[in-house]
Amino acid sequence: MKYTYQRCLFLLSTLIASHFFCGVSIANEATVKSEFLEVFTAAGRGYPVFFVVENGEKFQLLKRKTDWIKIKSKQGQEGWISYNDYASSVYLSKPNIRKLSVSAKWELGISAGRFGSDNSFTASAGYYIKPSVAFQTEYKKVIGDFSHSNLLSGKFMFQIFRDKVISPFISLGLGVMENTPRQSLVNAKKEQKNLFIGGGGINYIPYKRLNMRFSVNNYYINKPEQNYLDFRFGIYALFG
Amino acid sequence: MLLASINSHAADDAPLFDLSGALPDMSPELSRRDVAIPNIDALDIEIGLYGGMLNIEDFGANYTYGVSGFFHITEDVFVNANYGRSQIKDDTFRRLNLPLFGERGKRTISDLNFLLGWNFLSGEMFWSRQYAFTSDLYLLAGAGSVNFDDESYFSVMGGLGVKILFTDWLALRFEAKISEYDSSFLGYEKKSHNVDVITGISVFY
Repeated sequence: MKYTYQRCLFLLSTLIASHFFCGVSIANEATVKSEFLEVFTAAGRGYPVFFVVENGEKFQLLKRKTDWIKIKSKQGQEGWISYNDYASSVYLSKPNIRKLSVSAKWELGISAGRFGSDNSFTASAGYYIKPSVAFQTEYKKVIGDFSHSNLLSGKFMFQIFRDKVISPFISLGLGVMENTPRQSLVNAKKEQKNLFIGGGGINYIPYKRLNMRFSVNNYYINKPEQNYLDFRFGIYALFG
Repeated sequence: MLLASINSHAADDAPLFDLSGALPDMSPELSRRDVAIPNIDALDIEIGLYGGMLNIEDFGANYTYGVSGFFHITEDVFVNANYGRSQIKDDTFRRLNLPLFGERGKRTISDLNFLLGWNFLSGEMFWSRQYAFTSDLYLLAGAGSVNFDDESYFSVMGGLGVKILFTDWLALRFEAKISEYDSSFLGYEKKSHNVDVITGISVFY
């Protein structure tokens, strides 16, 4: 127990120290072109407005959290402005939401559904090689009545209309699956199998950093020949 | 008379007032531009450690600890992954002379879960007249697995939490979660519920 506390303390101090090494401080400046810009106490629309930056005033952009930007005024006051207000006050323009989601390079998400007749959940990370082509790696856990399986796979996803709010896609990939039967079963032993994956689905982007995905995949195992149909619904964050 | 006066002015080519130079160019900038997100440090990823108590149905409560990761998609929605470990003890059964876990009397139990979170009450907590910290009350729901003795059980999970931000990058969390799964710890299938109450410290990157 003593060592657990020491380990936790070490991890905690590493976590806090790494924050200072990971931060990239690029100071940007902008000028208010609208009449004024409202500044909030924290990064959220529910927080109070506590000062305004007036027309013609310059301010520094310090950091970003979701759709909020932390700024510093010439008088030294720090607060948060929304990304939409930033676009309309500095560029006198509305942000093109579709363009922003299309330009995102990375996605990170979770999904849950059915794999054959069993429950499953999946964590995945993806990188867009081209605006319409992404490479995804996935970790899937399938838990059934008689066994549980861990699946690791790599897939290419081809989107047909990525610049639209609703965009269908197809995906193709390979993977490995480790199946562990319940210990209560006689002659139960772990098995490793190779997988071929093919499927498709629909991406729906209700918000510029949020992607909802419904997909149907067929997992094909050649030895012994088996097919598993996988239905799932997931939430993915787009960034970068 | 008035109309005649207007007509006589209209006929005259010379302007009534010379405005050149008196007013700035008023042509509005109406062009729509693609406004890029500024290239500044982003704090959307949150990584933390937690500790607390885990109550396992039929086996009592034990300490639990683990790591958690968050990705904040919007100010309202985030995704959360947790991996935690705890001990499961057979003290109750041992008292009845029914030891389940051999001489040691305990085994390790771990859980991995992926949750979707919704910040539904954002606000500020006033700790004194001078100090106010931003806070969020959030709901969690998702799925995961409870792993015990090389067996995994699919679990669904829900919970409620409070996050207090001391700075832009350091947060303290209090969470209570309940998970439901079909277990066979006692040799037969039954629906079990685990409740965990934890405190965590997390750092934004």
